[in-house]
Amino acid sequence: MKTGPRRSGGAEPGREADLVRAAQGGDQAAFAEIVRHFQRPVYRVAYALTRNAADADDLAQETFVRAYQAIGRFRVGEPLYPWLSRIAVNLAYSLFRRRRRRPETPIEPLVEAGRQFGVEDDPAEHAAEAERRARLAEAFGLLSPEHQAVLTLRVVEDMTYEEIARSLNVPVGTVMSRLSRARTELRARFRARSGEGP
Amino acid sequence: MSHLTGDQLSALLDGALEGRAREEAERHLETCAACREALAGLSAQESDLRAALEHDPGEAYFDEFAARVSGRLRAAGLSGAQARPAEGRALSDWFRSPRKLAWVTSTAAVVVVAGIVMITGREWKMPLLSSREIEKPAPQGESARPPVAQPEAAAPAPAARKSAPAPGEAPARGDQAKGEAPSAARLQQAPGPSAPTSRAYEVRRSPSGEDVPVHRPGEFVYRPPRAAAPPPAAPGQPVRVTKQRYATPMGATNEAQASRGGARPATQEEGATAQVAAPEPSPAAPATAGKAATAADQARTYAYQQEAEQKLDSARKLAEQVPRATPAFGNVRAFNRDAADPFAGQSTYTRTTARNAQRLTALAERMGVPSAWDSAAGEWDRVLLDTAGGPLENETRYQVARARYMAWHGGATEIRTKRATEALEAFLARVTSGARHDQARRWLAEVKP
Repeated sequence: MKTGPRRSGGAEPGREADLVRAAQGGDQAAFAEIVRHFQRPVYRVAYALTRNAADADDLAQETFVRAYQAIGRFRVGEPLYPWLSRIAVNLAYSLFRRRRRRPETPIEPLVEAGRQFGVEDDPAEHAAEAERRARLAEAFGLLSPEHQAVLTLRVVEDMTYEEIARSLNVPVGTVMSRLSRARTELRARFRARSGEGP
Repeated sequence: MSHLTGDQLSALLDGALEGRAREEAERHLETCAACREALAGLSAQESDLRAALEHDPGEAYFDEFAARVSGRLRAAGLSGAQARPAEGRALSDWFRSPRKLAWVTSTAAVVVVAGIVMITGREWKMPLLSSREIEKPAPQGESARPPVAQPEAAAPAPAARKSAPAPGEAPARGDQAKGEAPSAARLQQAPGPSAPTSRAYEVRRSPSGEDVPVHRPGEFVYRPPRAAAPPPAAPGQPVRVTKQRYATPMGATNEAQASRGGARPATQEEGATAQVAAPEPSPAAPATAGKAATAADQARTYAYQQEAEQKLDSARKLAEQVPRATPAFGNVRAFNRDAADPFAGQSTYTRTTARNAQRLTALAERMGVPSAWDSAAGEWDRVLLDTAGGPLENETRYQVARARYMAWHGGATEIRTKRATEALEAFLARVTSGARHDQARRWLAEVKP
C-alpha cells in the first residue's frame, strides 16, 4: 500500500538495529546517535500536537528520556520511529489531559508571519495566507487527541497506514476510518471558524 | 455509481485504494465534478494543514538537542539504568527480572502460608474473617496508635525511595510507583488489632477530577497527604497560579504527582508510555532546591509566554499596516540565525525571553518602523533583568542600546532620545573598547550631539 514518501528520517535499518543493541547494552554514545537520527521527526510530531515551541521542546526531550528508560524492552529489528512516535503521541495525550483544555494559540505562526514580511511580493496576500493557516491550526486544535494524532502522523510525517497503526496500536482499518473522520471533522471545524472551505 | 464516500476520498488522497476499488473510484471521478472538487478540497486542506503544523526551530536548536536530552537524563540520574536484556526464557532470567522474581517469591509464599494454615487449622479453631466482631472498630482507648496520621507523618518519601530502581535494575512500572505511596502510608499508620484491616479507604472522584476520601461515621479514614497550596497570586496575575502546572516539564509534573503520593491509578496512556516509572526525586536537599528553582523558572516562563503572545500579535498587526518593508532592512532571514546563540546555556525563562527579543528584533529589522524597535527594546530590557550581573549583561545591554538607537533613528521623539541615550551610555560604561564600543559611541554622538 503506497501512502507517499517517507519524511521521517532516521538511520538505515541495519544501522538502527546496531544502535538499539548498543544502547540496550548501556552505550550512551549509541543512544545519543539515535537521538540525533530521530530528533527532527520527533520534534515535528511534538510541535504539531502542541503547536507551541516550549511544549514541543519539552515533549520531544521527554520522549527520548522515556525511550532511554524503556529501550531495554524494545525488540531489536523493529523500526524505531513508530515506537518513538507512539511515546511522543502518548505524552501529548497526557499533556492534553493535564491541561484539561486545548493547547494555546501558538505564537510561532504570528512570528513567522512577521518574519517573512517584506520578503513576499504581496504582504497583504501573505498575511491572509498566514491568517488562514492560523485558523486551520486552531480548528485542528479542536479535534479530539486521537484525530490530531492520526492526522499528524499522516500529514506531517507521511507515515504509511501500517506505520500509523503500529504507532497508535490500532488496526489498519481503524487508521483508515479515523483519518477519514478526522479530515471531515477538520473541514467542518475550519468552515465553522472561518466561514469558508479550505 | 453514487458519489464517493468520505472514506473513499480520504483513501484516494493517501493512495490507499487498490485494485478494483481504485479503478471504480477513478472512473467515477472522470465523470463527477462534485467528487473531483471534494477531492481537490481535501488535498488543499492537507497542504495547508502541513504548512500550519510545521515549525523549524533552526539548526542551532537541533545541534544542541542531544546534549539537552543527555543533561535531562543525567539530572534524572538515569545513566546506564536502561541496560538490561530485552526478553529471555532462560531460567536465570527469572532471577534477573525483579518483577518475575517477585512473582515467584509471592507464589512460593502463598503456597507455604497455605500449607501452614492447613496444618495448624486442624489443631486450632480459626476465627471467621467475615465476623462482624472483627470488622467492628476498636474503642479509642484500645488503639495503640492514633487512628489518623497527619499528612507530614505519612510522608511517602521512605517508601518512594524504596521503590526507586537501583542502577542496572529494571525500573518499576508507573502505576506501581504511583500506588506505592498510599500503601506505605497505610503501613505506617496501621490501625489497632480490631480495626478493619482489609480496606484502607474508599474514594470517589470529585467533579474536579480529584479522589476524595469517602468518610462514614465511626469509620477509619485515611487521608492522603495533599500538595501544599500555592501561594496567593499577586494582583493582576490571577492566571499564573492555575497555569503553573502547564509550564512544568513533564518529568517535573510526574515527580510532583509522585511526591503528592496521589492514590489515583495510572491511566492507560501513562501505563503505555511510562512502561517505567518516572525517576524518584533524590532526597538530597540541593537536588530538591534545584527542582524547585526549575519549576519556578518554568512557571515564570509560562506566565511570560502569555504576555509575549499578545505582544507578538500586536507586532503582527502592526506589520499588516505597513505597506512594504524598508529596503534597507528587507530580506533578513532571522536575527543572528547564523551565529551561535549566546543565550543557549541559560535558564528556560532567559532563553525564552531572549528568543522572543530576537524575534521581535528580526521583525523590527524587516518592518523598519520605530514602534517595532520600541517593542524589541522593551523585550531586551526584560532579558536584562535576568542577565544583569552575569556574563551576558554586556551582550544584552548592546541589544537594548541598538534597539533604542534604531527606534530613535526611525522616528526621534523626546522619550526615544532619552531612552537611547541612557541605553547607549549604560553600555559604554561597561564596554570600554572593541567594535561594538566604537559603534555605540558613534550612535551616541548622533543621538546626543
